[in-house]
Amino acid sequence: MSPLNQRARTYWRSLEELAEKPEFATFVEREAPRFRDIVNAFDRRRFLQLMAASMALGGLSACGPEPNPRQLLPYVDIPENVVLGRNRYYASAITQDGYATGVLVSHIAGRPIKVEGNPDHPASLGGASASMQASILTLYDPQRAQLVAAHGQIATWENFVGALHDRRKRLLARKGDGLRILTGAMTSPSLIAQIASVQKQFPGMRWHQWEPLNRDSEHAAAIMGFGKPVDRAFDLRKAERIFGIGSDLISTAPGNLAYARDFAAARRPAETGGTMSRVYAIESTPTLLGAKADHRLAMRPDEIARSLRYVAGLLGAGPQDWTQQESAHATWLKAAAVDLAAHRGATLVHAGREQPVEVHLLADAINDKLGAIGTTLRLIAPVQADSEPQRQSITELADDMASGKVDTLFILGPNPVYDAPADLDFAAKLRHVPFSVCLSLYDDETAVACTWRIPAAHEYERWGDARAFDGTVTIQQPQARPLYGGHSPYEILAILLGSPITDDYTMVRDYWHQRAQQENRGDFDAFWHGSLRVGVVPKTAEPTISAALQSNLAAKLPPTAAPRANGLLALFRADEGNWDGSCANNAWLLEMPRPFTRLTWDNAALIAPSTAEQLGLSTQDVIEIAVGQTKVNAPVFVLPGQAADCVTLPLGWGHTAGGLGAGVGFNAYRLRPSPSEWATPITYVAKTGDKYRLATTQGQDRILGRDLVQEGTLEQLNDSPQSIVKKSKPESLYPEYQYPDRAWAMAIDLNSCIGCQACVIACQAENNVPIVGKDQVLDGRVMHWLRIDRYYSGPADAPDTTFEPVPCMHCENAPCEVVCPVHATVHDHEGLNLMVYNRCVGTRFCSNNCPYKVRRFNFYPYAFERDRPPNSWNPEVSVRDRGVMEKCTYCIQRIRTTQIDAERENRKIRDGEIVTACQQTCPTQAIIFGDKNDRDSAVVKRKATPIDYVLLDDLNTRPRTSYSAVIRNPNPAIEEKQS
Amino acid sequence: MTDLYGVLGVFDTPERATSAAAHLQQSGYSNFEAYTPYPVDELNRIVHPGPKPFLPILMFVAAILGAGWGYWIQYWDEVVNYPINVGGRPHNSWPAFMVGTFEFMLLVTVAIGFFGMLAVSRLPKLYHPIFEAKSFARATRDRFIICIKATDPNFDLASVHDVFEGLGAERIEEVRA
Amino acid sequence: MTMSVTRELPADAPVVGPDVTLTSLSHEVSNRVLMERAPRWWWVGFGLSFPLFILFVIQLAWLFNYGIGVWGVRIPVAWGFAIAEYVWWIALASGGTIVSALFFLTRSPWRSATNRIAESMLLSAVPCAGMMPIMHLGRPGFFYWLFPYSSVMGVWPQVRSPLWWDFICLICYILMSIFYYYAGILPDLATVRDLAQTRFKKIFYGVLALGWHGSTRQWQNQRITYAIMSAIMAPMVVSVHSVVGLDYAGGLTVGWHSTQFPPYFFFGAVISGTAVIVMLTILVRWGYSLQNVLTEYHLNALAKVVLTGSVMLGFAYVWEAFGPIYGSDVAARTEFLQRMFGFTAPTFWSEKILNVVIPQLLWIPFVRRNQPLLFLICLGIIVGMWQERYTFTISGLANNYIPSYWGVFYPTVWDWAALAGTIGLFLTMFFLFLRFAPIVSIAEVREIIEEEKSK
Repeated sequence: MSPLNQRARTYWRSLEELAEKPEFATFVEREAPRFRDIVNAFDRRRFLQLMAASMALGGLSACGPEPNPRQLLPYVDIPENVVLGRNRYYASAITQDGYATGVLVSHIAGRPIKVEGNPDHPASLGGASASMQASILTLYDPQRAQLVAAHGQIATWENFVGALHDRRKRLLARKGDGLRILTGAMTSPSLIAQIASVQKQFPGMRWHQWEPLNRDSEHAAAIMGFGKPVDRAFDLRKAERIFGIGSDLISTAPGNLAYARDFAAARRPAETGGTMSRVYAIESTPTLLGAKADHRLAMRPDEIARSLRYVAGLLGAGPQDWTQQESAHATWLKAAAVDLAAHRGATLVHAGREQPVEVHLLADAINDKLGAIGTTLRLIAPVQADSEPQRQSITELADDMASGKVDTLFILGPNPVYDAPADLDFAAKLRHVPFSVCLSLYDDETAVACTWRIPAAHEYERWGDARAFDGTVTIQQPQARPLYGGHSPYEILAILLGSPITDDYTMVRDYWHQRAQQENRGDFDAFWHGSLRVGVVPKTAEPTISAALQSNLAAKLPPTAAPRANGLLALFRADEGNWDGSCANNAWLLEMPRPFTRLTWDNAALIAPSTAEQLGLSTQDVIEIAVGQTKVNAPVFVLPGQAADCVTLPLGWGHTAGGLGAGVGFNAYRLRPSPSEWATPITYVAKTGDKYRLATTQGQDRILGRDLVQEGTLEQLNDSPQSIVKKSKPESLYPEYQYPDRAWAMAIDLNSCIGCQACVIACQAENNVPIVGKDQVLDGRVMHWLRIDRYYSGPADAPDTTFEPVPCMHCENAPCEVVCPVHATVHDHEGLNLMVYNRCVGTRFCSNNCPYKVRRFNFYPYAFERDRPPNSWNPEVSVRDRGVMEKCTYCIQRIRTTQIDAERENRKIRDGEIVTACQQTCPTQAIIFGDKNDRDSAVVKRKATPIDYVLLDDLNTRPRTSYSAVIRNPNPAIEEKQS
Repeated sequence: MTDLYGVLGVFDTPERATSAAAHLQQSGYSNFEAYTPYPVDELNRIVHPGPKPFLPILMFVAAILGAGWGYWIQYWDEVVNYPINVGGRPHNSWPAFMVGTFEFMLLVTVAIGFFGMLAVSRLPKLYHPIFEAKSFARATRDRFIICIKATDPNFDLASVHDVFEGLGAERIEEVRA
Repeated sequence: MTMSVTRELPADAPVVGPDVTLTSLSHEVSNRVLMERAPRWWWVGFGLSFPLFILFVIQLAWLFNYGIGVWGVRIPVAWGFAIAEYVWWIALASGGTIVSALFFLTRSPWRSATNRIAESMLLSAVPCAGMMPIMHLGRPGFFYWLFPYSSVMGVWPQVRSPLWWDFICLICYILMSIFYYYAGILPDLATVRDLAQTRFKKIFYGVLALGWHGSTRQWQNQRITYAIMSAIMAPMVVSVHSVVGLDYAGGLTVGWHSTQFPPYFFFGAVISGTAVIVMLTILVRWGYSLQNVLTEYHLNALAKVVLTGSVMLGFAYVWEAFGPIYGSDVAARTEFLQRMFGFTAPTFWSEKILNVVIPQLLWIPFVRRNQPLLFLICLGIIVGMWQERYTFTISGLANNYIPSYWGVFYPTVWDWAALAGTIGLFLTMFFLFLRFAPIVSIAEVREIIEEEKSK
């Protein structure tokens, strides 16, 4: 691996003296650009060069991870609590939007390997999202920032500390005038306290918060509606009728994992005695909630506002004249309104963060009218630090920078140069700031634009604390020593404060020591250790507060907006994988098929089929989108269920600096103006005539008459449950195989699956599934063991969407095994369909013969091509080499571990003791795994339901994995869309 | 004259050779052999009368053994040596073993047949006294040769010459052992 | 059928030319082997073939170095050119055995002059067929794990797999073909030996001839064995190609899982194999100017076999369509519609034309005698058969049971290199056969000459 290798090593070992050497600087200059632009053209070979380089750096982390960060012990005397081959969990939390979700990080041989949700944490309840699963890869990512740099020249931490001390003296002199701190949305009590003391020391300091996907309109609506800032927390168990307005309730809203779990729990009629919630959704671009909705309407944002007024009018939550206006969907809306009214106190109306203040106000009004507040919706004191509108905050910061009011700026976390509203031109204004410090995970756009850039410690590398959507606090404990010399915001602020203690552990601990005394929580050590162990600080959840909704909101609202003259509208939405761009360097997330588009390695302009027809566009056409003066070229993706005239532009792509994400996709932020962050009129769309290959993993959108997805209605289920699924059990000439002791089986509930892809990434993390890169995805060689097929039925502009997770079926009459000429895939005595990698010669006949197409083949040595530090692989699972087949194993390593425990303790394996990776992470508990022979196991119970079926059963493969049919709960008053 | 292998007569047509052979047989010669460019059936019948069942029987036996071996090797593999659940099929799923059995049967039959043929034809044997004869070369082209061996009880150099002349042999030549 | 060939034998076309005598025949054929330097046309042909053979070696090295990923294969189309071409090659090879064994049993006089060409072709094609499955393995180095031998792992092959049947078939077929070929060529080698001038050639062919001296005993043994061998080779070749068919029929794959494949494949073997033989016969006849040994009679008879083959194949095509369309399986019907009108449409239709429609010209006697026409028709068939193998291999996999996992196959330059390379291997071997082994079965033609005389 190239001289680069040793270079990388030496410069790491002796950073200081090397930093002086000029040729080293040039070396970095030479290498750094390659790191960036290499991925632009997805040229495989050049990709490899990069990977080779990264591998070298990866080697470094060998000296990193340690369960206990306080001291490092050489392995010759094994650290206590580390038993080779056994994994231990350490609780912590990871934040998005500043909100914490509790995690348990499993360590094997002292290395953090896999992230799981923390069952004791209210925001997780054991589930984990795709980005949480992927966070472990970011921890190890060798492309993370590793160097302190001043004005682009490599410097050292000591240089920085020195510089900061001078700065501090000057700032003290003028009471902190010109001192600004920019953070993301902030819920960390200790950090807030620290910033407060900065404020005290430097009265002139100003603290800005910026999240590109901020929830300003929600907050604004709360203040307008309730007269004070409040957060809304929901209880979906009580919600029999849900009305979603572009709702991110089960996708990205704070607490979405918990919400998703309750949401799904209320929609398993076959298991919960024939009752299920009914969901209405109106939205401009498909959301997960919309996909699960029993009735969904796609409409333009302005239509949404009008429709909601109409509903509000009908329900008496607004003036009568709102009901007068004609609407194309009047019958639909009326039926929905009647249905909602009929379920007073058991309804919930929820609007997504992208909806304007008006919509949120209306939603609150309707909720208030229907008695939701106090039952399905509860109000709590805001969890985030302060609720100054972030858009305003960042704008003011930008203006002050321009007018030279800012001379010291600390950017701790966010990446404004990349994601601040386009018209602010943040980058240019940042140049006016003489002393700007950027603490970031990657050398991203902001980092390279600042005078100082400091590599940040990953959340798994530092101490800290953060609060969940309901206020619950988690104290974050590091899972590893900083692998790449990262630093925490605590350190920087402490130095700024001139405090002698700059170590995050002590600071966080001291903060909680004081607070524990104030709240007199008794023995601190007990409290501290308890909180760390469980991952939750007890009794920190916010209590419900009562706040009356101000009457006559209608007056507050602007008059009914007239229907907009036709014209294309650009909608800005979070990307399902890259989020706001902060996850854009994560290979797993980049290659994760997006729930609806099934796209990997790219974002695209999403356009409704009808609109595409009008504009004469088809998928993979490159169009030029102009908003005002700015133009961006983007590939088109025609998306069924998208609202007409709406072009959705997923954010978080097209980085120009940073890691793997640099140069991937197009950057929609460049079109995003500050006045209207979520929807803005498009000046024009022009077809460039070019084509751009989009790597989607879905072959056909329709089911083509197969029985792959079977569905029925709630009525059917209650009247004639047998009529829902078609079953055929062909006879076999051969005698049935007997599985006397245990028979592993899986049941997947299609009704519960919301298509969030968490299981896909969980499987990838658990089973060392390699990424392959865009070109290989295009060649149909994606490696995910578990995939979520997305099928449409009904008209293209208003389709029903079904998500279907497909792991290996572990057929009892496995077609793959019979055709393997070398016994490389065989059955074990518990009915597992085994894959013996070492025996495989790679005929690929098994893949041809698999009717479910769940087998994956290593056409190239993928696992060894990519930048994956060797110590980040899961040691429990063998890494596959070139030329062998692989597939889902039902997480056999977990089965065996538990089996060994059970045998050692001389007992039977308990039901639910073995959970597969996909099952463990699934927020909605759609997946159940267990022993088919155990009469009262959960899996047997689910399989016993009348709606249980297996895929392609007429092939007589006898799969062990079965599915529960989709059950819809349509409103009789709304005539069914013909499928 | 112990170093005499025999005397050969060269004939230009199969008919002549055949009638010659017939005559030799009547005149009591028993130990002579004919060499021809292609099989001449009458000639064969005269020189080596009677049925030749050996090779067919050999190959038939080979067929049976081959089939047995073919099935056994599969049975041993799947049932005795490493019995394991493959696709829920029984260990001894005989219908699937038929192809192997059939192919092994054919292979063994043909192989045994081939080597059997060589064996009974005394091949490979790169040297044979008859090769010494100058006129032999044409026996593999366009001439039909009959060679009376010296070991024949009523072999007598002079009379043999006469006989061949009487039968109209083109050439008569003595073959040294 | 072949009897009919003999009966309506055109008066102007004797099996062998009247001027051919035992003497002239032996010299003519043997001289082709013994001549000091090969004729120019041979060097031209060899000179064209050998670079392709080099390409074969290069693509092999590239493939084994970078892995199967250099090909266009993917999930779901995990089998691409390699397997389609394996079937294609094995079909050509089988044609050789069909002509030499099947028509030996029917005592067809025209077989005697052409069987050696057929068998040389077969022995040149079989290695190409054999290489394909090995090349397409993910880990080619371990192909020998398919042998039923006692490995250190103690794990034996899985004999329920059609792939294993196929492997065994191929091995047996290669070995048996060599025995069969050798049993037939033995007397001719003796002839060459006795005609050889230089010491080296005397020894070389002397050793090859194993000391054959054509005594009546040897002739009898050779005849009996050869007859029985033929009686075995005939069913063997049928089984070989049927088992190849089982690779598909035995798979639980849409468009593959059908009992019609074994006969379907065999018909394909008949037509494509005979087609190659026709082309090579025309080549040899012209190149070695053996017009009076390989007469129009032979071409006429072979052409009729090709015609029969194409009619049988047409029948198979009807069934290919009838099954899925009449059947109740949605997946199968969709797959077949895709095959006809989807990605594979071009090859699907051109294959039908080349294999069934155009060969109907052979009903016309003139066409059967017109060598250029005959040559072109046969060439068309070879191409058509390749397209047929390609079409149903790809289509069945591309349009599988799971719509979300449909995907088409795009061959890469290395896929084409593999095809060109094996063609190079085939031609190179055949030209070597032409040069170093009698290309006409002298001994058997001698009998024909005698029969002609006695008429």
